[in-house]
Amino acid sequence: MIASFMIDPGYRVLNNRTNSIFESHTIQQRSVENMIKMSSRISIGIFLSILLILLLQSSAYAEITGVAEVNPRLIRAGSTFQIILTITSDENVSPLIPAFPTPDGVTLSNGGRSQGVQMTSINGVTSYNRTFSATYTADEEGEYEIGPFRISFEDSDEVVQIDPVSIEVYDDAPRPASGIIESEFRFPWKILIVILLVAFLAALIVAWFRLRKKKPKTEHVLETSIFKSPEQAAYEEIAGLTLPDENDEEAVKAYYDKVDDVLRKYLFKRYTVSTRDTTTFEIQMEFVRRQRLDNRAKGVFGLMNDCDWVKFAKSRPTATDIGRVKDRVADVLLGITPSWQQTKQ
Amino acid sequence: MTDIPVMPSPTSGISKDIEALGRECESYQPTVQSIFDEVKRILVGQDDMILKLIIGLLCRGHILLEGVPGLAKTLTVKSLATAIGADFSRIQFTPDLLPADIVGTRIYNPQTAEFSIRLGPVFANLVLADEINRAPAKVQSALLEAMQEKQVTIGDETFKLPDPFLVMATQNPIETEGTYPLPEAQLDRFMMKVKVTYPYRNEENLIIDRITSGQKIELKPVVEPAKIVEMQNVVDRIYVDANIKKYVLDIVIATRKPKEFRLDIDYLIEYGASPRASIYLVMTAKAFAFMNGRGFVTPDDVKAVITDVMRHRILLTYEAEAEEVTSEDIIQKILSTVYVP
Repeated sequence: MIASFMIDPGYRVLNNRTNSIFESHTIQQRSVENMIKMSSRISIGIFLSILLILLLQSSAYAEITGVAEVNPRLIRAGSTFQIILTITSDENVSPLIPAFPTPDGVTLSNGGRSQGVQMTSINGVTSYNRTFSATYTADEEGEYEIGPFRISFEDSDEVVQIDPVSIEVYDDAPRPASGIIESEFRFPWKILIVILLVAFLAALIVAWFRLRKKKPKTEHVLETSIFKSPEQAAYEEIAGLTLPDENDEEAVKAYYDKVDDVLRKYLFKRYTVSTRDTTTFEIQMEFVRRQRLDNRAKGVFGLMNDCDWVKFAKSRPTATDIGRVKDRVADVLLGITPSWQQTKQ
Repeated sequence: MTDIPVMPSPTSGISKDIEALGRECESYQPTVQSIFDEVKRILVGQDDMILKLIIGLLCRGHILLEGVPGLAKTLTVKSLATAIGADFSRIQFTPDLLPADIVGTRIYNPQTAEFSIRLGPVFANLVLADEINRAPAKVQSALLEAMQEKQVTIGDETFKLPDPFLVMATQNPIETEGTYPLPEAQLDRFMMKVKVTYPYRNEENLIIDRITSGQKIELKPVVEPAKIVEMQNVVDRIYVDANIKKYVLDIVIATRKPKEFRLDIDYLIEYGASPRASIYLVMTAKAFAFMNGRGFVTPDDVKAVITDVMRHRILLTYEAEAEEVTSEDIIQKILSTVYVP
């Protein structure tokens, strides 16, 4: 906990200790009273005399602050703690060693006292820090208030009072003989959970970016569902194509191109065979290799072969042939023999 | 001879001219098969090399053969020349060779006080340029210019090279000290770069038996050069649909702009294939379709020839060399990404 102290408007002391610090009461400095308004009839000499007296008086007093810090605040009975008094002033004052009160339940250690001096000058502003520390032993369980602390100064009647500090003593277990303070270890479950969550989120984000990158711009996917089989989806997609005019070569080519595309998507969906970058022959060879060349697949390859003739060999099917493509797909994929084929048989 | 079966005819609507062209191609299949079989009488294995040489012959394209010594490269070209009844000449390239040693020169006859033209060894139907990378650049240029122009100028006279004319150049990939590797611009002039590999164990066993037994096999011509020209004209008429051209263009442009095809390989390619790649891909695919008795080209034909046509046309970066990525790997990557029509 970092404490900051406002002494008075315009003067601020920052305390950067990382141990727990308790705010202490600031010392109000004697303020100089403003001079009363001069009337037109008071002589300059009287004014100057009064002013001189006041200036002399103000220079006799330095800005002094004090703070008390206890470390640690929460103590096991039998353990030691330290109280540090820090006196900060803008002049090099000489505080006397203060008395450290000892309430019942704590004992002031004989060899635990020390003092220190530090001068700092920042941006032309000089400050002096004097510290007095004492080591106590907490004897009994309970809450204790130690202080207030009174600081006197050499050649000065000034007294600075620092507010008391409080400690909490728990567990009257005897002090370990080795002097090592046992601390209770708690597994940082919360930290672990947070780390795992962050790692999981990071993995999700990376996977999303990678999938997004690999995803082709144009999807070649057959719209299937639990109610629609790949055969049904392929048939419906082909049945939904607009039949081209037999005399429009480009339209006929485009139609058979789409039929071939749907059949490839069907083969990929049903048989998990790569079809977008493979030729009809290569797909057939893959089926032979996997020993999956069933009657349905053979029927599909027959249709794809006809599509290849249109796509690559200027084959020009008649309007009847074009109209029968849908029926042939139904026959191959759904087992619905078209009437014209039944008549033939 | 090839793995691609003949496509079953469609149920109806087959184009008459394509059908006629297909029948014409089928009629030449025995001729092609006879050439293949004749060469195979003396050669063990190396079926792929023979096939590619025949394709080169049908497309009027020149072939660059790369392989270590002792893989029957010279024997194959010589046998092919014999089988088609063509003239054959072999030029052994050495560092001291001069252009006149290739194309010919004018020789002064003191008796007649006239210059007479002595034609060089390039004036043959099949020319084997052995170890082309051993000769300096000016000699390579003389041959390459003859390959391109199909004619040679000596003095102020221009001489046309015979028809069919095919140059098969060889490069030894292991002895590169003191050699002059063909620059990429010159490599681009070769239609195909065929890599010749070691024979299989059983093939090498047969080679040992044949050579060490002192067995002599004499080849005889099975076709005339005019027949080859006939077949070349039929190949020219093989139908190439717009879908196939689009497929070829997609593949070639993928080597120049991989990102357009969602390929993350642009850091591996310094320069992609030139328009010659598109031209030669279509030409060789047509020859392949012809050899399969079809009057039209399919994507299978393109895939069958693409590696040999493209492998020497893709210039790799240092990163590719550091990662040991070859041009064949890049071609396979492109093939697995570009959609087949």
